[in-house]
Amino acid sequence: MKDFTVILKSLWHSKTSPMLLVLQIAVTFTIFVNAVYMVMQKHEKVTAPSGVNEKQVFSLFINLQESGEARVAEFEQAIRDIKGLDSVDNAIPVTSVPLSGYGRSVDIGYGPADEDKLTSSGYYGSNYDSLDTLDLQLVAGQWFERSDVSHSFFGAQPGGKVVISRALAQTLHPDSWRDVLGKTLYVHNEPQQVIGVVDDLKAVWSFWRLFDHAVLSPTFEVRDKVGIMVKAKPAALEQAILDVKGLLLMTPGRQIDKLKPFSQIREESYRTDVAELQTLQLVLVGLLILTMLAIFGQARFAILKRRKQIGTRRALGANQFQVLRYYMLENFIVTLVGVVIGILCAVLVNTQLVSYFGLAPVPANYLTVGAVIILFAGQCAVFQPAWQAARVSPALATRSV
Amino acid sequence: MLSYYFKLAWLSLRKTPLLSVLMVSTIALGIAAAMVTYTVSYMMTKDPLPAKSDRLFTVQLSSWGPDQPYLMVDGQEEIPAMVSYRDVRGLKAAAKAKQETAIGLFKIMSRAEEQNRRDAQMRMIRSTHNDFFSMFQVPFLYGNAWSEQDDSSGNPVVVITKALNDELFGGANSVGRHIVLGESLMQIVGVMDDWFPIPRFYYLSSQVYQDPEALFVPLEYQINQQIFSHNDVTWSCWQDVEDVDFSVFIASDCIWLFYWAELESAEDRADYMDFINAYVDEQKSAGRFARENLSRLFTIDEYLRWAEVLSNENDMAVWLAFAFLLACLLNCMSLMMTKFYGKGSEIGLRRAVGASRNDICWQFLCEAFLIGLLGGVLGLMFAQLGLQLIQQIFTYLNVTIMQMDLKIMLMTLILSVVTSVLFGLWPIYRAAQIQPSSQLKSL
Repeated sequence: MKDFTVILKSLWHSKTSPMLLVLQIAVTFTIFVNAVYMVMQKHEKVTAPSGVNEKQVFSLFINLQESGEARVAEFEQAIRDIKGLDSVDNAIPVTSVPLSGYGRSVDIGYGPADEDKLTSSGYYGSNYDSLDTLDLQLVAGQWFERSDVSHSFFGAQPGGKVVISRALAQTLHPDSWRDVLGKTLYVHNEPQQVIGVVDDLKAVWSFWRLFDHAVLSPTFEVRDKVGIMVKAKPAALEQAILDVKGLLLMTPGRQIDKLKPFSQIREESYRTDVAELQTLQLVLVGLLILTMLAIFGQARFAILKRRKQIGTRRALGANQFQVLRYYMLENFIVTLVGVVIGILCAVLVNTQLVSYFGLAPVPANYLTVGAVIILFAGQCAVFQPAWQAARVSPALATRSV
Repeated sequence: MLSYYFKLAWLSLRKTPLLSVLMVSTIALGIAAAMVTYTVSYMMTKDPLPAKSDRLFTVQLSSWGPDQPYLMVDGQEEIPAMVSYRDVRGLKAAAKAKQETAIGLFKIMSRAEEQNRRDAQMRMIRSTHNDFFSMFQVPFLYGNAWSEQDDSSGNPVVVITKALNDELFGGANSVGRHIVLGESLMQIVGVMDDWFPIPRFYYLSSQVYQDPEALFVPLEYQINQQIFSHNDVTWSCWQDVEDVDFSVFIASDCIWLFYWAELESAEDRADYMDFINAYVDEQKSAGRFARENLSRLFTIDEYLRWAEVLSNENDMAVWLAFAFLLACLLNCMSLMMTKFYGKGSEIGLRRAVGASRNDICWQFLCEAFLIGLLGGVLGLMFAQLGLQLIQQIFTYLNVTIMQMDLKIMLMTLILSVVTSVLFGLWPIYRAAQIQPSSQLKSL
């Protein structure tokens, strides 16, 4: 690589334009790495499973028109009727619908008082069928008995049993989450015995910090407006939605609200995230194109200035490949300097972002991968001008202007 | 002479096609990015009713209970944005404004009369007075708003949007036909034409970028039918209304309606405020309104600022986009350096035959101008493309937010030309410094 020192010398000789390019690459790299990392994090978030069988499940809310005990019977009958449909596999009453924004959270702690609160969690009051309807995976402990099922106007029965999501168990017992089994947990200040843990169940708000925390209780709630989740038979989702609607609307005065397949709930929940993700991706593409244009223009300029030099070199016996290599290497050095400065800036900017916005710090491999991408883009951009330089005829050096 | 310089500029651009394309597309990229974000932020915060924005007010009353304030913000007592049905009755009866309307909301199963029961859908319904349509300049495709009589008796009449009319009646004139709300039959009196006020200022600040509801009915109809969707609308009470009768609920101080008044002119604001204060005093003597009187009027702009929909801190995205434009312009500047450097011999020749430095500057200014103009035109195309992309990304926002008006298009071109001339100044200065003698010698 005897070119190496020559290139450094010539770059040092005329500093301004490579300097500009170095700065631009550094700035681009800083934005690029941080934005790519945000994209990756968002992407992970919007593709995370909800723990629910998303292909077969839909949810709806209905009004109940009776009152007192008759209202409970009306609700139970409605669930029974829905389960009786040919296109329906199973159905449950629910207090909240995952990801839908419709539902509630509860305080969680190991004591009845407010100061015992350790964390919060999404809350689902349902019945015995929720394991099958939502296709939850029980990873420890056991499921409820049918005799555990009861109903209330609001909240779980004190002294009842609950099943919680693994993420909540891990928050309560970071070292060994299975320790939560058998413990008495205070959910909304009422004691509940934890009998099982499900692998994955999400809360109601996708933007929530504690989105992974969920508590399932076998106490379903009966009010004037109640939620139902239905699992259709495989590939019969459309039919099941029509059947359920037709069945329920046979009752005069019946209202059906928020009837949505789970895929739609998911899409609406992540809508803004997906929009941000796509916008960021556009920005990244724009930045890359711009940087490539800059390198391209810069390289052309350098070659325009040095046509005679190149001709002289060619006349003195340098072959086309050597000239090409020279310019590719020159670009590589300039880009590398830009990237090194960029890495420093990216780390600085990222630490600011971490301290101000609570973002996660960028892992080191993003920096290396980002560097490789930028270097590669630079090599692509410089190839055409370098190739043109290589084709300069040796005769040029012998002519005057 | 200028026309000759433009001709030269055109020739010079044609001579180095690749470099010219690079310059123009770099500028176009930056301009497009800047203008797309600017367009969205401008359209999201523009005045939705410019003809009346200084004489249209929403009324906010200190009707909260004596025990505690409605809300404390930074140690200041805040009053609610909504009013109670009782106060709507009081204000409407006084009829002090040119036009005035309450705005409510409820949710109910709805379908066209011809549809099957099972095709009914849960929809949000706006309950208003008939002034709503003329106050907010709602255009009608068929029919018109309901009458004063319908307002006072709460007749079962409905105005629907064009979108719903297309969905239920295939776009035909549906005036006189019927829609079933819940269990009762409503006669259609009007079909609105396209109407998407942005921001949609007249209700909650959290819903300013949503489309208007599909159905409008007289408020008194909602009261007659005793409909209140307590699970689905925003409302608040300081009194205990658990399990009370509907008549008790609407006579209470529970707030669930917005109230808008249009005055003859902006100067009437003080008089109308006096009337509001007099009304508050009257209520105080009747034993209501136990708190300090903080009642106020807000124009659309004041309301949106108070609700923090419009913030004075400029949009982060716009700043970023303009930073991107700056990067593009710096790029273009170095390209112009390249370009003008390459023309050294031409400059030398022109200087040698008597052109002054000024002439050289003019020649290259024309070139920079032309580059800016072409960049602007291409940037407009890119921007339209960008807006199309954004429309596909933000499908849940109204399309009109992502459309450039003529003003913005002109601004785009001007911005492009001005910035490229500005960033061309340094390269032009450098080019004008070239010594004729150095260029005329051979190397």
